[in-house]
Amino acid sequence: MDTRDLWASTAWTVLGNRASSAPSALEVQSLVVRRDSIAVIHGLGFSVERGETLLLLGVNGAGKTTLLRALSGLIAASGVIRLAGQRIDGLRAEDRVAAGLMQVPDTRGLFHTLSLEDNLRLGAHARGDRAAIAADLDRVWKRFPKLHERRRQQAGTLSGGEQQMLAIGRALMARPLVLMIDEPSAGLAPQAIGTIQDLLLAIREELGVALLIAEQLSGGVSAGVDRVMHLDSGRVAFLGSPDDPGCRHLPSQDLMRRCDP
Amino acid sequence: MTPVIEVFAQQVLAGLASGAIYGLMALALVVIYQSTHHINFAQGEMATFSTFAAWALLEAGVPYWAAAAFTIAGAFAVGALIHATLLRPLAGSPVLTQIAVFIGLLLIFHALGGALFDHTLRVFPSSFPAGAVGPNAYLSAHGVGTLAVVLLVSLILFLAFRFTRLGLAMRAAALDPEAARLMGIRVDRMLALGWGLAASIGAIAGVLIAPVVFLDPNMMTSILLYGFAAALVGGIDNPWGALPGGIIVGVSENLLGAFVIGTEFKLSAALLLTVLILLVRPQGLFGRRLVNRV
Repeated sequence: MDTRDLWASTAWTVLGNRASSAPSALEVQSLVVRRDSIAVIHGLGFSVERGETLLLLGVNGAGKTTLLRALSGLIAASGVIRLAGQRIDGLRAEDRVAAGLMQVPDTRGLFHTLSLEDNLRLGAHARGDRAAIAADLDRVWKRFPKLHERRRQQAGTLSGGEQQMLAIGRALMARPLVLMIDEPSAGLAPQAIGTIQDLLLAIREELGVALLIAEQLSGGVSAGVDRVMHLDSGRVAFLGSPDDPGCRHLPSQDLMRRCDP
Repeated sequence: MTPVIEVFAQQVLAGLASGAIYGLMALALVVIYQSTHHINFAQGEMATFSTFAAWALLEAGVPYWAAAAFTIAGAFAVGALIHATLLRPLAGSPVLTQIAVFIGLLLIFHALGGALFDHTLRVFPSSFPAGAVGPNAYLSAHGVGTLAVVLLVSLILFLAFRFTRLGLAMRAAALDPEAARLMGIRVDRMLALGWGLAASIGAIAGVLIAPVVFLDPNMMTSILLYGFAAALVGGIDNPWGALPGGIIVGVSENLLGAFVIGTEFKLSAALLLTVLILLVRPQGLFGRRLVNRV
């Protein structure tokens, strides 16, 4: 498959020239999510390119988590979702993972009583290439030497920042084409947020993964963001470059600061 | 040896054999508990029904080990089917709904066993030679065979859950279904596998205990209570504790029956143990408390 080939040839190295004719990593058209027959996501459309970071901003209840869960297939939605040109909206959540879409939920979704290593192995569940999985496991351990020292411990014993790193490392074990992370900075100390920030930058630079990161309006990650999508009550209030003058006219003071870092 | 020590040794060894059976039933309960967080009350009746099926196969002239293999495979299919048709559509339904299903299954299998195979006591053959083993004849050959089979089954399950991709996926699916789906694991399939596995384990327990207690529709009723006590002793959330829990219950039941309370009150002792464990150490002797920093 396209995703796998891409990884096999360029895995963990800088992704080369992006052909402009290639389909977007993630493309969403007229996505509608209803809760109790009331629409909470109103016909969203956007795309994320390979190697691009799209920052999804919004207050609590704006629909960020709902949008991510609809994309990953955990909740029902209507509309078109394409992954590298292939429609995945008809697939179940577990099959979208195999197609190359990975989500780190706001709860991080770690298996607390399983070891760090078992958690990482589960990230590669949808893959069949044993040798490459072992090599990827080594790469994740190299990236996180401190986690490697504790690989036999229960994941629940890690600190919040370490848990987030493990969750992201586990998502990388799937060799995703698109990685969605719901509030990676939630509940973390500023120092830990910095570490996660560096990690996300490295993922974008080295792996060419398309990143869709949801954050609150204030705090959280901001560097390395290519485009900002501001979600307001399930609608796109702004979508464009953080340098775009329109971005600064958004209501929140915090957001203004982050539009022009 | 003095007579008291001799009786003691005899009771301990007999307790090992019956404890191994309790351990198997405990394991079946724990496997289901991990994914549903409920006790499958029908586990004993399902095991009894499987044993009836094995008996019918033997009556029809099927060789012992072939009959055992068919029974275990059939139990697996029925268990997986029960999950797919009854439990899966009820995912997310209230606790009482699911408990009603367990009780319904209990009644159905109990009545079906009685209707198809009669309520009379039946002799079920053992695959192991008659008579005793060892210089002092403390343990029957069937007891030794039971222990060996249970240890082998436990070892296979341990290796499968600990070291295979499928085993890891099954554990993940039971621990956190949604997180497992986000790993690309087909949770429905894993839970159905768990139900099949539990039914198979129960069938093995039934076939192993039937030569000792006679086969009738009530065969597993008390065994399931011992198994429940064993599961609690070992930790209801901890598959590794099921067999040690079963051994502890089996040996202490036999010793208490021989020296303290008499054989009539053995089941009461198991129930008392259940209550005590729930009061004093709800996570069981070997249960780990969940560690989670936030």
